[in-house]
Amino acid sequence: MDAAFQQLMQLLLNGIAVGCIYAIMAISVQLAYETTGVVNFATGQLVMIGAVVGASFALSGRLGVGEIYVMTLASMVAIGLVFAVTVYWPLQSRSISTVVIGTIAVGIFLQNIALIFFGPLPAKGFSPVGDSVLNILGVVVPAHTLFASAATFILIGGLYCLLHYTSIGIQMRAIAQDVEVARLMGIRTTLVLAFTWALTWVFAGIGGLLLAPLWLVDVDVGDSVALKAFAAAIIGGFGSIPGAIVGGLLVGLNETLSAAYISTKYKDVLVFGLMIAFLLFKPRGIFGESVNERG
Amino acid sequence: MGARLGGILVLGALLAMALQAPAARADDEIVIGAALPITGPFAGSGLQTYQGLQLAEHDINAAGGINGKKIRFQVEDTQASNSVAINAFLKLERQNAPFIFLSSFTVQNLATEPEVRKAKVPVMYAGGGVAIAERKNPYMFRIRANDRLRAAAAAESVISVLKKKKVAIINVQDQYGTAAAEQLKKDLAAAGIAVVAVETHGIRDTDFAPQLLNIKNSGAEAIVAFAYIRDAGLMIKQRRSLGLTNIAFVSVSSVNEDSMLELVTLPDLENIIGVADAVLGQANPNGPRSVQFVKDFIERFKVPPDGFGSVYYDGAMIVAEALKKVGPDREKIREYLAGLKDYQGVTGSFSTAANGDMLHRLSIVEYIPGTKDVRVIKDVFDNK
Amino acid sequence: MTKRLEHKLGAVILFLALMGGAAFLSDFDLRLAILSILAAISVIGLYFAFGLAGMIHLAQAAFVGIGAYASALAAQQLHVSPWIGLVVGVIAAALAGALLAYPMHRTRSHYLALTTVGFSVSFEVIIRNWTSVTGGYDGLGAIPLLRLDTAMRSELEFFYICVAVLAACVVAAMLLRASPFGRALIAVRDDELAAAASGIDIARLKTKAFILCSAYGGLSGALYAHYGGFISPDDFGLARAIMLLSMLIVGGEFSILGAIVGAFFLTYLPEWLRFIGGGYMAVFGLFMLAVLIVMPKGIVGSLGAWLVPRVARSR
Repeated sequence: MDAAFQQLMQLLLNGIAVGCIYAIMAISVQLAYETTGVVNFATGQLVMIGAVVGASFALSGRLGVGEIYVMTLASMVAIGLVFAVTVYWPLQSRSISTVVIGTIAVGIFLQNIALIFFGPLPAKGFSPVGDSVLNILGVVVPAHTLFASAATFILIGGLYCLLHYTSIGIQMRAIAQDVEVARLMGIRTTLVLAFTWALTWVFAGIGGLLLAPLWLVDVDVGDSVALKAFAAAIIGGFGSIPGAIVGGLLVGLNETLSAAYISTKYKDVLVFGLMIAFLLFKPRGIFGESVNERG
Repeated sequence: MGARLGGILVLGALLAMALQAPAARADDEIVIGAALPITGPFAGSGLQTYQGLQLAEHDINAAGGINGKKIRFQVEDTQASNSVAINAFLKLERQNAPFIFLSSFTVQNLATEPEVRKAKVPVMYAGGGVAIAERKNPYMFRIRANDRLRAAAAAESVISVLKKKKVAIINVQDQYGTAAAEQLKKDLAAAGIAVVAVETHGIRDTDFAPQLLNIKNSGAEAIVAFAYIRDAGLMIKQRRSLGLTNIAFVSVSSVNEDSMLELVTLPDLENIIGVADAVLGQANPNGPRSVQFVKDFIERFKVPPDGFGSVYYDGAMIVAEALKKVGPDREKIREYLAGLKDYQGVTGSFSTAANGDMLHRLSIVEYIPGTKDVRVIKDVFDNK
Repeated sequence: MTKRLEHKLGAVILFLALMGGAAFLSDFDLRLAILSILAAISVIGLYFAFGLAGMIHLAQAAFVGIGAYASALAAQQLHVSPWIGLVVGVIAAALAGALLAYPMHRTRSHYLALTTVGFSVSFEVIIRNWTSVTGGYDGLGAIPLLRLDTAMRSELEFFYICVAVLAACVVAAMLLRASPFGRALIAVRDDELAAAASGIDIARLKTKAFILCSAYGGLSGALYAHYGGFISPDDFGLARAIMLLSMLIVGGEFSILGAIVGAFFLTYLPEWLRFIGGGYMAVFGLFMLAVLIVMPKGIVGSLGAWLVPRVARSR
């Protein structure tokens, strides 16, 4: 393989790896939108909490990787439910703008609480498949990248099946369409919404756990990725699962390819420019369903 | 809308302003200010500076304080904002602190400089940007080597230690990285060394493959990296997983800090040397004092000190000396500091130059094989 | 009639007392007051874009930045007086506002919010990297200060200047609100469909509101540049934009007074909380949440409702 081609392959692979994580976060953004009707500006902090909680469990040194994952996700659900009850429920009937600022306030709170408990220093992440690195035809493939990509596809595929083939999934979609009608049809909206909300946190938590070995863990990991997750959700299209994957991959590939071939400095402007273009001219995104006016 | 509403708001505002009144200060203590980042993305570097001051406070008071009075370091948060940094400084100044420590961030230091001049209070800062010294503010003293020396040391490491002819530079896209890279390019050009690639990265970037691969393709024999702890750690790891350990790597100022070494494994450090802000412990020119300092620091904070913790410790000890000799008088302290020569601290030797720089040495270091400890290959001085 | 006159007289006396009392404040206290006033000017702009026109605007800090850099560069490079610089800043920000507003006029709620977010972040990146013009990360220093060269302390003098400018901004805002433009905005806010049906060109109206908002932001930025003489990209990013909108919502999005109260509250709150130590920003987040939950109409809206329950609230 010649050097330029190898480089391209490497960049594609890295782009896909990071794209998968953006895709998972985009799903979290979408799920939050389905439940609260609002873009959750604290998504970055949710992901960070997942990473930080996972890293804290790992640092204690006494748990196996599987246990760490399970306990982290359980913690995410618990924290998520606390927030649902104390913050999102009281703010439910308010205007969109109030809820948006509410999510931002939650983000500030989470960021600083994490700082107190975790401290300001970065820590190494850990991966269920360890540190090993494969070398395929000169392209470096960390085992964790394969794991993360596989996990992403499995999870998102699983979510798709959940939404389309299970009872609760269908109820979730009904509520997303019109919550009043769903309630009238006998769906226990509060429970289903709680479940969807828990999923929001679980997906964010998984995003955090998956990114930890790649990017190291500290309380600021959420900031930079949050916006890219929004970009991914928008470009792919809100309300669309394949959209989340496509959006995530596009944003991820842009990271590596623009950085290498266009400009490391302005790569972010490119992806946000693309996001803005979609917002202005094609807010449905690539796969999006029709834009519902909520609230 | 009601005069009542207006009245309540005004009363509330007055009450709030009253809450800002400076806290009463015990008569038998001297309060020194410190405007440091405690929250926000700079909190990681802020932590060591804070810890250095805390240890100094303990040591000074344990040795009898300042002529019998206790010393206390009052820390105010600067976050990562220049505006808040100025707020923090002014708040401390209002409490009539005879001396204030500023943070290690050049842009915060630059933003605060006009206020320092207005208030006429002596300060020590650790931002490396030469732009600060160019302001010629007689009240500002730099307790860390400046970035020009850092670039010179990097050049020296390539020229006489590694002896490579084709160099790539990768720098963080901020004031420090950009200025240091510019200076290095000049230094290398003057020595006839070719700079075959210059790459940049954003703070907290996650993937350095684009930059590292470009560097690989440029045929560089050595890479000089100006990066912060977390980014340097990631870069070093990714360098190895991309199989680029055959290209020598010079890590500037992120080489022997515990917080960086925690992030990488031993194999990651292959073929890496660095420019260290401070080599502490046995290898330090002030060996025994430095060893004791490291021991005390680890005992108190459970982590080893780095070049920031040590210079703030030294700075605090110097200020204590000043207070003992001339008392809590801003002008006298300023004069004392301006005339300081050959103070032996735990980091090294401090002598104040005309432009306010106090520390004039950096060390080119390599890792002792099989360990993450470093030893000094060569020291680099600036000629003041 | 006499009672109103009494109230007005009382207000004037109180105002003069406060202004006189300011002379005794330290530089730190004056700085907080100045920063609050500058924020208030920006937030009054947001009152038009969001409070009245309903656009969730998370890029106001970028327009503050445009005003700041434009004014600073005009004063430095073209050697105009800082006073002229203020005008330059306002115009630059307004022009930028026009450029962004038009494509956005069809965009709604979240999508609008996210567009402004994207713009905020892109602006930050561009400012940081366009070193030849903005000085990049180093920031722009040695900006000529806006002062009157009286015998007063520099900080005190600037404080009075800010108070005067704020007063002018408030009067302008009140006049605009009472004008046909303002009334049309209120009509749109209340019921967009009905307003459209009665012939109001909503797109143009919103665009104008956005431009007005940007102009206010630009003025605030220009003042800031000539206050401390130093600006850098940090001050004009997304975090700041979020804070500005939060000020309006926390203060009370339906009134100019709310804009001012919110600006002061969120400028002072982190400083009040400093004594808590490391966790103070977490408490700050909680405070914001508490206000949002407990005071649905913001501080002014809720305090007003609690104090004068019988009077019909007019916007």
